[in-house]
Amino acid sequence: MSGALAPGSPQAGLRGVRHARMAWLFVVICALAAACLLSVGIGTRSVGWAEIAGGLRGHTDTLGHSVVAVRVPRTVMAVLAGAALGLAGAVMQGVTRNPLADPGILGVNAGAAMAVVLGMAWFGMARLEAFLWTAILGAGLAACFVYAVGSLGRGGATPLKLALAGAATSIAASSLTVAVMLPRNDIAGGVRSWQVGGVGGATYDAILPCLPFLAAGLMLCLASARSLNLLALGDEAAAGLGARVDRARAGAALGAVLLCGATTAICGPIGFVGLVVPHLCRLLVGVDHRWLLPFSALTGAILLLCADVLGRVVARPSEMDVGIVTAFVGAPVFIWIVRQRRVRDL
Amino acid sequence: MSLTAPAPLAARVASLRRARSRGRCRIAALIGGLLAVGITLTLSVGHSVTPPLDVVRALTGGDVPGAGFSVRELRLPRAVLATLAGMSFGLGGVVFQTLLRNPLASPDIIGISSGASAAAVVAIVLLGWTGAAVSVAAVLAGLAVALLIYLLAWRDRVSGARLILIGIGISAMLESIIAWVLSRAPAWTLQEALRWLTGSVNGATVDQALPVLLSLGLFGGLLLGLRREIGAMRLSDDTAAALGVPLLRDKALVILAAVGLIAVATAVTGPIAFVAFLSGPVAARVTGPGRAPLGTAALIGALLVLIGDFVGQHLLPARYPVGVVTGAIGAPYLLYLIVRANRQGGHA
Amino acid sequence: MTAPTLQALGLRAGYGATPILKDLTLALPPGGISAIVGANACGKSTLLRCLSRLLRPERGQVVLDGRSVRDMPTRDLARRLGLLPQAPIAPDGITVADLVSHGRHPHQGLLSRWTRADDAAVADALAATRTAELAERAVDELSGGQRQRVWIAMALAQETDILLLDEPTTFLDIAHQVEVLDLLVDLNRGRGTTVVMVLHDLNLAARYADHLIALRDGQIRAAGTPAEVLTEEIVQQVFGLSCVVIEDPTSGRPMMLPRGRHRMTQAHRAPGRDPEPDGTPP
Repeated sequence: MSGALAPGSPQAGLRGVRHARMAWLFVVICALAAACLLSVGIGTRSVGWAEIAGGLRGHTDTLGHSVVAVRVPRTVMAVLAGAALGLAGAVMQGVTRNPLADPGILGVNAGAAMAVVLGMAWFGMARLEAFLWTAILGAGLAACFVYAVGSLGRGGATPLKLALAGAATSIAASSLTVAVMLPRNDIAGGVRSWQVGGVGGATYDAILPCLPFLAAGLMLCLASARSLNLLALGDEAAAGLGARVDRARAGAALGAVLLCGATTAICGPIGFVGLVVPHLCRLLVGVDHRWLLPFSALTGAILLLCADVLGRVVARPSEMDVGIVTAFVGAPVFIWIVRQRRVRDL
Repeated sequence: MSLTAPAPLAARVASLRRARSRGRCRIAALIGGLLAVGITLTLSVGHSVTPPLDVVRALTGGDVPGAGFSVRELRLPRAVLATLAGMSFGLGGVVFQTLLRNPLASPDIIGISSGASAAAVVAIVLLGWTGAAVSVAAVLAGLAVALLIYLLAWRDRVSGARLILIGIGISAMLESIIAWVLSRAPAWTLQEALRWLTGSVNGATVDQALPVLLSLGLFGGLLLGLRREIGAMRLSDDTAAALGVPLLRDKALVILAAVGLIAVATAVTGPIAFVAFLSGPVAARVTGPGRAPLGTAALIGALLVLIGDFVGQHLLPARYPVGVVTGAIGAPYLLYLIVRANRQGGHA
Repeated sequence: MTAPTLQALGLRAGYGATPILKDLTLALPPGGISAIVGANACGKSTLLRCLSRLLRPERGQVVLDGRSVRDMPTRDLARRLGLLPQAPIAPDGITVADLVSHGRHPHQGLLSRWTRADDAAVADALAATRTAELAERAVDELSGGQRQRVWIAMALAQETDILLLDEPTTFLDIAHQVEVLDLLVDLNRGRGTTVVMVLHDLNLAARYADHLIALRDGQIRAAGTPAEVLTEEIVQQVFGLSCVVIEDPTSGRPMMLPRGRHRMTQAHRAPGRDPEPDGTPP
């Protein structure tokens, strides 16, 4: 191959795609910045530019400044959780080759929740680090369990069977959670408020311990982008192209579980972000995981920020937790995805 | 080659068929016997144990000091409601699993009962309703959500896979509503609201059992009348249509009847977890794969609820509603499925 | 019993906005074996689904013995016309006898009991497909050829005058393909069943069918005896494939041998095709 590239040639086409992706990257980063500002500025009490600037500089003179001081960690939390969930969703969809994979649908959140409640009730856990480890363990076990149940029978792990296995596991896990909780009035209140996903009470003290986990998960996921591209061709084709299928899958899945587990431990189960975001991003940048994964992280952060802001606005003067907002946004998208696909692919 | 079968072959086919139907009758009788034991246990054990003879005397109107009231007014309604609700869940569940050709696709998993639960929780916690109004709201919401799922799954025709997935999506949304509402519940409604999360037959009355009995008679009768069509629907949709099943009409009727059973029972007892899910596979296991085990599944459902309730009330350190017990059975059952598939290398 | 006539009049049908069948009219020879052939996505299965009323045509109608099938009660139609779909699903663990018994469904009313005649029909179907010794086995344990015979037995137990089959030989090795097609000829000769099937393999279709229907883009390109339909010209039009048609020495029916770009002898190299890569001129 040599000579100048004619317009419309394959190379020129690829370059066009690249330019479009860079443009979208710029748009998404701007949108993220705007969403962060909204999240700091809007709430039960609105604050002006001057107060935001003052609050960010650490002033606590006026009421507005202290409102900002509360909202900033909350915003940071929403960005981290959203990015983690979006990324985890994209990785799970890649690993299971399943368009409906989502930590909520696949029962991973329920597993993490059950582990945390068991820890609180039986081992008297109260420290956040303990929550983190337990939640990650629970998420990992639930993920393996659901994948095992979903792969039963003919045809392997189809989207349909995985979704059913996830739903059944969620019910079993929440039954066990209730069973543990019912005789324990002392912890019931804390568990109940935690069971709706939210970022409302975030503080830097809560965010710090989960950072190493999120960082590790992020590295693992981003590092597996190439092998996810190969896995998308099917296990056998991927092996033929030189991928170590089992290792690639285990590494990526571990990354996703770290992200989900850490997020669930702090915020409680937040569903549908991991489902919706990768689909949206595929419309923007296509199916190449090297682009899809970072985009999913950014877009996930935007979605969670917007959902959080929306939750503060719709139910004034009280607030609606972000988990319920994402459910209301996410379920219609889920249904749309299901309706788009041909029955045979399910 | 000859195209007419020798008479002995016809006789062999007939005797095979008769042997199987005798086997099915024996199994039904056995489960019926177990059910009778379960009912007797529920009737005789409470704060105190009443001997079976005294239970019979109390039931026939005789005056049994110390036990007459609790047998007639507390334990009898409980046993009746547990049996009827269990039958409704078992029958509704196996019909869905048969129709959707998937042992995991029971109505509790695919969100048919989540509409009833969500409506009940909202009515109790946010609106402060009580009693019959809550049940009516639950039945209506259960039917409405099922209809919504059905309509959303419609494209040319209703495909099973789409119905299941959309049900799961909707129920995930409703579950998050339930969790949110419960998180705002004052502690005193929590116990009642929890019933709508897990299901229970605590505080059963005869008035509550009546609507369940009516729906079981109406919808259960309809389903038994359609049992051959349901059997043909176990094959693919195309095959069933080629066998002369008016698919559009019969599918809608069957789904309506199953949803009716589930919604009415859920409105009274709450969604007793996994009864609808477990009854069908257990029934298929004991009767063999020949045909859709509708009646057996109903009996198994009743047995599960009775035993689960007994265990939750008397055999555990704390008192648990029946749904917690049956829900906890679900996890080991799923594990069992994995183990069995690993052993057999394939079929679940 | 006179053989039934099945006709399609002006069918227009499809799944989305663009119709797959476009104003298609055909009459199937009563008492014969017809095979529908054509390239992928030309509407073969759609046509079969319309004939069996699984798919409602947007326009036109299917007529059985002068009556539109739309006006016939479902059960009546199922007693006259059987269909074996392409990938039928057997419930896990169901036995052969139970599956074949499903074929009696259209003959049973709401309250009627299983009769001696039903048993006889099931036994008949098992005997005709040589599956009697499998009666107690589970369907999912059988080999592909056996399973296909069992499904045909189910359709036979339905005791219809017409049997439609959608690619009955897919996924079967060549020996089992021949076995299934021989079985269909047995049925046609022994019971007088009118057989209509979609077939992928042109040569097997020409060998076993009395009547070939070649579809292209949702319309009939040619219909008639194998000798009339399986010609070099029609194959070129229907499949876009250049070929040589010779007489099959085993059956006397026509058979076609495709011409490719490579490995052709000088005499059969297609005109205008690439030369051999070794540089020999065409």
